[in-house]
Amino acid sequence: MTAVRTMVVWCLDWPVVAAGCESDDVAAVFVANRVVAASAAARVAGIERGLRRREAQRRCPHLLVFDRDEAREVRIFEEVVRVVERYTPRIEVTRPGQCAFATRGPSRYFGGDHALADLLSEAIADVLAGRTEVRIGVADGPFAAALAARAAQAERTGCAIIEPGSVTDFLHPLPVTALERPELTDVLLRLGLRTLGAFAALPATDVLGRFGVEGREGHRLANGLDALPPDGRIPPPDLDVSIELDPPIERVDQAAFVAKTLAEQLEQQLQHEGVACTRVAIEAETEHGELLVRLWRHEGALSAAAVADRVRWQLDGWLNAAPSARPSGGLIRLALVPDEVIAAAGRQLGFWGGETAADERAARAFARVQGLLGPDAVRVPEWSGGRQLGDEVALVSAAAVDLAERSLRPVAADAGSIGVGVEAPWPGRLPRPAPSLLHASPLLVDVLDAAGDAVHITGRGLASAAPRTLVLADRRRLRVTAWAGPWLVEERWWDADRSRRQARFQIVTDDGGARVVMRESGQWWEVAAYD
Amino acid sequence: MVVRPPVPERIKQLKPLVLAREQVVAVADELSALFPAGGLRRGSSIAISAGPGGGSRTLTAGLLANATATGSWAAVVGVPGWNLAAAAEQGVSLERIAIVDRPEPASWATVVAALIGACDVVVAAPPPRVRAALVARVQARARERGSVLMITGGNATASAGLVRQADVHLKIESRTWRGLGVGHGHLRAAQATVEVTGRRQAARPRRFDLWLPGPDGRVGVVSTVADAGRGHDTAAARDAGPRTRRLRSVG
Repeated sequence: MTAVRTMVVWCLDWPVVAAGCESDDVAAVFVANRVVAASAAARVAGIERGLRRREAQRRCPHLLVFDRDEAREVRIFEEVVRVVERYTPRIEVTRPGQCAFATRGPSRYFGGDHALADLLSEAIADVLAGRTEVRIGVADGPFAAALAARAAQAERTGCAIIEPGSVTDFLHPLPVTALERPELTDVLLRLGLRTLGAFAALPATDVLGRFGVEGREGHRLANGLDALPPDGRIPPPDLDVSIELDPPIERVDQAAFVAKTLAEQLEQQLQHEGVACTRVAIEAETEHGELLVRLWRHEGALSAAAVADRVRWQLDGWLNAAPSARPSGGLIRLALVPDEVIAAAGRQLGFWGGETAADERAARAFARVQGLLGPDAVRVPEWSGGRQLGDEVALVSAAAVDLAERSLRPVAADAGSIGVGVEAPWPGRLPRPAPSLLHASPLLVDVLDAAGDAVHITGRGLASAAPRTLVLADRRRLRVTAWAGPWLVEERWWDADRSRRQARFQIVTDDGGARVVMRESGQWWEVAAYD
Repeated sequence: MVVRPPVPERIKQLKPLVLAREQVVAVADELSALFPAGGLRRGSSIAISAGPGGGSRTLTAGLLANATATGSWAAVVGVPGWNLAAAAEQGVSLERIAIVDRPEPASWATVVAALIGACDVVVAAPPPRVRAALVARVQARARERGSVLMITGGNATASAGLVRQADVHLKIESRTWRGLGVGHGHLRAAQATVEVTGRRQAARPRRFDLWLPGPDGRVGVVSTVADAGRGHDTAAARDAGPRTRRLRSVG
């Protein structure tokens, strides 16, 4: 069975466009300190994908650096998807920047592949207004069509159309790295199979026996067929999950919370049937009848967290769109419809490390507590780095984090790169041990010297007199038995709004308690205590 | 002699064999001496109280260190202002700890009960006027689900009623800091005396000298005179005269 004729619309360097840059800005988007996307001008300057940040900045000192924000990318890509929607009803968003749709019907309607491709390029170029370029690839099957779009980029044409039936000839000379399965391609390269044609020439049963299911999928792709086996199942209609929202929801974070429970419900139902879904349609309906349906595809199966993410992105894009495209009311219905499912291969829980049953139980309990107290009631720590007390570890809502997947060893800085974030030395940080009790807002206290006057910091950065008495917020007076300081910290002296000048002291009082007090803006504050 | 196979009713009475080792959530080796069971016995409740010198958060973190590092989850309910960077220094693995905001007094018991069973250790600060019956119900649920309940009121001394209900009561009596002079130095370590009392096996009060925290940042037991001399002494202690220090390798 040949693959469905697909058209892929690919907008170049989408993460950079979403960050707000034009194609002649020299900019790059980084994830975990590596380049994931670079603008056209940056590519000319030598910035490639996978480069480390320090290396990229060495090649191009005035490079604009951005962090990846997937929600923003999806939100801005909504404009492009809306344009493509005018030409075809069922669009599948592969990832922000690339979407695909079956093109047999639309091509026939608009008078051929070339005509449709031209119309689309013009319309999308209008919307993009020169921020980036669009490439269109048409071939049998989404895999070949995506590669055709890349070939269009390589040949500097707007679109590349592979004639029906000649997809194997097109795929033959392409390298196996195009399969985007790094472990499989690693083995294939070492075996000497460098092109898709060489891989496709192997017998299918041998590939299945040697490489397993993943290898068979890659083999089918290399042959120009769909990755899914021909008996891909059509999900029974009662696998849809939907929820009626009353009162209507207007905010994205509330909708995201609901979406997470809905996604987990869907995953449970699918697991019960023994399938996992690879393509899901997310429907959102407002109280005035406006309906937004988006198809999302994912390589491999979509987990509950992935589905919840996509709902959040989709709603973010819709609710925060331009006023003409925004819905006029709140959401009253949210539905998840699994569109394409595959037999679930199951998951082997790790013996040590990785996801365990304890993590799952904890996640379920936290979800329940969040249902009782609100989505931000349960928080988990993340290393962040800073010199102010309380900046080193930040608390993020447990709902936003995949509890089983995270690994919290602070990312070790590469030798020779400027330490960023956690591992940086942060001069001015209090020495260890850190105080256990951090007041959410500093308490107003007073530190008096032997004469009963408030101690202040002289112009030379010394204490005016030795502190003798600590007067607490509740008016109790404690005698100071040991103290050290002032340790001066001056942050952001160049920014008038955010600059801070503090002098920190450690003080031990006669009741055995140790505190960190700080003089800032002419006042004494108790910041932390060593509980 | 005829061996009759056990009657089905008897089979139900036979409980599966559980190693005594698994009934205990492990703590650091040094701290196991504090507990009669050699660790935090599953289903038990432990009350931690401190005097004005404080130390309850540090001691709690020290007890959680081994548990979180070996895969148990810990949840902290209603203990305000805990600096998790300090907890990480004391050995707590930040991958398996969650902080829950203080719930309304009416829903405190529900929240803690929801977390018991999923998390092996639940640290909770009961609301100011909590009925003893409510705490007893939470303790019963912990016993049934096999979680450890640690009750700490932060710096305030726990009310006598709650303390009586706990299986083990760790009371931090005094705490002296080392490393800070008059106008110089910085806090390096603190020694504290902890009194351990409780019910049943722990009924006989025992006292321990603990590092809270020690020079290495962790909670441990002060072993011998050599430990007592480690770290810079405060000015008052220095006046007590020279003290012989054992050489210890630093490389």
